[in-house]
Amino acid sequence: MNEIFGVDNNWPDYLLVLFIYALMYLLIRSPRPKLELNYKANYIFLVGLWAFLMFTGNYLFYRLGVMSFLPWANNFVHSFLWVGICLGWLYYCTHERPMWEQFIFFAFTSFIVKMAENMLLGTWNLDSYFGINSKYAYIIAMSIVDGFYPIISLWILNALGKKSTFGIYVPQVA
Amino acid sequence: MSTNNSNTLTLQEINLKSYLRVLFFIYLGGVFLYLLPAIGLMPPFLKPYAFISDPAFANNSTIKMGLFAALCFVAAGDVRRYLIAVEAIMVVMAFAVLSGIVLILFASNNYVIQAGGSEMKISTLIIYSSIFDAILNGILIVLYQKAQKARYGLQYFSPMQFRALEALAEVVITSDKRMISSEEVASNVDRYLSSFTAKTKWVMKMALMAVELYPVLFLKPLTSYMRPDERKAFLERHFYQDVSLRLAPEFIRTMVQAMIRIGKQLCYMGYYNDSRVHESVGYVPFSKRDDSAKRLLDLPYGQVKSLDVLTAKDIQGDVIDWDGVVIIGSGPGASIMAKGLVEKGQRVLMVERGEHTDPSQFNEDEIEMVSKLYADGALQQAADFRFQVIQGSAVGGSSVVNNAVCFDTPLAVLDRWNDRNGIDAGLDLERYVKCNKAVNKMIGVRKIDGTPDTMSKEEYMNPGGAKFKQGITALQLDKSSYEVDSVAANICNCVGCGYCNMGCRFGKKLSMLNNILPQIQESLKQQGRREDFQIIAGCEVQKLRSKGKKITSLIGQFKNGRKVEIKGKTFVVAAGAISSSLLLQRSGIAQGRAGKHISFNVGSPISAVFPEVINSYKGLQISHYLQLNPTRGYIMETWFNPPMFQSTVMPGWWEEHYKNMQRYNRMACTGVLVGSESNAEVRVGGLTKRDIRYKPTKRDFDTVLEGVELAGLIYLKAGAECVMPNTFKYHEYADENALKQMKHDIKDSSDITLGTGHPQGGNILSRDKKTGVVDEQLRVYGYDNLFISDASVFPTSVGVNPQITVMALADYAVPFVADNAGTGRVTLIKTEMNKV
Repeated sequence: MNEIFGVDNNWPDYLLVLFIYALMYLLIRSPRPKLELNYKANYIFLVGLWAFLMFTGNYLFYRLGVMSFLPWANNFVHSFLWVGICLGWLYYCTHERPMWEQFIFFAFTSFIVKMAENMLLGTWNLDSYFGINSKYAYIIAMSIVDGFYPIISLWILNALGKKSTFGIYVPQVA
Repeated sequence: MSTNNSNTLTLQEINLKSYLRVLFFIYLGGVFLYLLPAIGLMPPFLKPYAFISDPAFANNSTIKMGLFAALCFVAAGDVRRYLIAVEAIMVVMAFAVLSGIVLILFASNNYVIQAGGSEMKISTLIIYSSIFDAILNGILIVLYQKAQKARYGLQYFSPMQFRALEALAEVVITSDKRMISSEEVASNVDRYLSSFTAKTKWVMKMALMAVELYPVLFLKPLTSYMRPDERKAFLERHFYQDVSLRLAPEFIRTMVQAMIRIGKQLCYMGYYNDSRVHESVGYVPFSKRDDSAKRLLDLPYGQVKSLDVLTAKDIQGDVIDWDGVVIIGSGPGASIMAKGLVEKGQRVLMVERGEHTDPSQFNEDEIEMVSKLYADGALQQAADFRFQVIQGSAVGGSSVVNNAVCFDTPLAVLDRWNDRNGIDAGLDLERYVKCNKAVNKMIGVRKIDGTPDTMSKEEYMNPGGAKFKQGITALQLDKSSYEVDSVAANICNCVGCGYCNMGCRFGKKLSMLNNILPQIQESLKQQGRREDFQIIAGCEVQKLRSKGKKITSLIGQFKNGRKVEIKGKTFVVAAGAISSSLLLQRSGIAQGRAGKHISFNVGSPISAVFPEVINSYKGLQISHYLQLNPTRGYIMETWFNPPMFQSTVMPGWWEEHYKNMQRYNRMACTGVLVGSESNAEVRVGGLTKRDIRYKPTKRDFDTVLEGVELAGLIYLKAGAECVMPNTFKYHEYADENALKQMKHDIKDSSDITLGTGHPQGGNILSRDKKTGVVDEQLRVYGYDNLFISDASVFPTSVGVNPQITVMALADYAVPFVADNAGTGRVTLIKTEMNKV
């Protein structure tokens, strides 16, 4: 069970995490609560893509020794609900802003969520990272990695939008 | 030709060469890495990695890396000549990555080795080495693809597909006298397909990949790697005999037949559309014919008003709120409906999937015109790839590319539709017949045999048609109850270029594009109501949105992926039998009924070779017809095409096909059209999301054969040397007795090419709500403001060219739609249902 939920974790811990996701989601959605007709396919694509990449990537990078182990339940909710749905919507709300602003938005919101998961589930926990002896080093590094979400997403959407693959539409490349 | 045949390497090839050198040094380094410890020269920095000196590691890795280093060394010497070495490296490295993954997942002996200062599981080491191999191979594959694309100037195909097509062309077009090389054939096709706008053209790529890889199943090298004679033998054995002699199971036969049909047609497309080939088959394009100037002088260009059409760039925002009727489609049904509604004071917005091409842009290039005027409509196939459903996809719909042949709805068909014990269509036949007459007048239908004084009738119409008539006279069919005549069409003063199916650039065909749509715009302009009629082109309707019993809007999508929501008061679906059925299904409308009861005018051509040159490509593509007693349910129409299209329906394989194409200018051709039973259906599904399921019934199949045999007999009586149905296995019949064998040679629909340009039904008209999709007002059951106005409402096949019936039904429904749009109510109109 430890591999699934993490040491000493139970359903209430996960409910609290989901509650935090919900609050963040409402906050993220507030500027643009409704998906535009022409963004729906992009959103659905990004949700699916990032959720899959994160879920498999978190495990693969753990195997490579780059990341700490994320219990499967934590990996699932983090990848599908937080990165997929919530960060997908954050990208929808911010993708027209300058890239450096987007980077900060993504890194900062990720930091908040990772800290919450660290406190509630004890995950994202390494005593040192890249030679820095602080438990925050790993969380900050992973949050910075999340800051690249908009850059990578833009690149992928632009590439696929050229031929409207998967129904993706990007006005400037269409 | 874009192929780079010079000795100078392209920049991309130089990049590949440089990378191969880098790889050579990497692998050579690897060899030393493993060998140095064995001879006691292990560098100090490698000492913590003791596993390197393990003989098992050292031996295998040295062999692998040494081989790779050697291949890279050779390939870098000449990346064109030793390309096969690059391909070998790519394949073997891909296997290395694959075996790594298998070991990571399934290997049980996961022992620990010393790596650096710590221990490492062997599976972790394999992960690292697999990632390393994958990265190196990934870069190699990308550079290889770019180098090949640059060398051949590829715009659409991958190098593998290009090579497969080139190899296929080398054996499919078999002659020492061929005018262009197989590489040029493949390059032509690549160029054509890159400009082709059809969404489903990827099927071509799949077919070529399958042709290339199929021999591997028989432990033989890829198709393009075989010697031409072995390749031909393989194709003959596994693509021709396995199908024609039924040596393979049905599923395999279907797939193999589809692969080779597509492959062959691509080769013919690349060869016979090339202008350098035309002279060799005796074809002269209209612009170069001796009598063209005289014809154009006698029959001057019919200047038509150009059409104002909106495209994606003209549409601002995501929502259009149209206070009027929205019509989906712009073909015959849609245009007549629009004309009627506008005359009744309604505002009309048309949304057309195809692009708008002004007739002045039409030209003699068959491929370019197919791309512009058919798009996906040229690639519509039944699920088993044995039945092609060709439809135009452009502003003006199929009327832009049809032969403009017009037949009134047969009265027997109308009576059958209205039979209260059968379909019970509930049409007011008296009014319907009036509508039928009205549309004939509206679109300018006339017999096409009115000739100018300066030309003979034969010259004006079609020399192939004359042969057909000659055979009919010899058989005395004209003296029977059969109807034999030149066709009636909405064509006026035709110059006889023979390009009806590629769009008439001379304004002679009075299609919706040339005639009705500009007329509507012009009349509204004069009334100061120009804004009341708009056409949006290049926008495919994805879905209809509804609220309760009302359709509120539609979602359209432009080619660049952009979507637009269009709101309206009343909606008319007129996208054609297949597309309308699919749209209803995608929208969840008439579930379980939409897409059923589809019928066709199933057609199959028969070609005849005459001793003398007749040049059937000159003149009207369809000039004459023979209609037997309507109860027999079929009609014959003479038909001939420019060389590229004719080559795709030309019977024969290898040398025989080539020989037949050399006789192109001595040939005539007739299509037999049989009104099929309504046993087909279409659904959203399959690879192309257009899953057409059709297998002709025995009755329909036998009728097709009967018609083809009679057509053959007509040509033999007219003096043909031989006749050839379009069969998979080649058959040539030189006399009447031999022709009698035909029905034994053609056993089922897999033996003969069947196709149609006339799909009908799918959303049939019936007062029985359990089977009908629309009621007697052509309104969709369950919806107050949704109508259908195209061939999809036909309860059964009409058995003749359907455009007049489509238009007559549209004209018939105009008052109902106008009333609905004007009042927003549903008015029940009592119909008179006397027999006609």
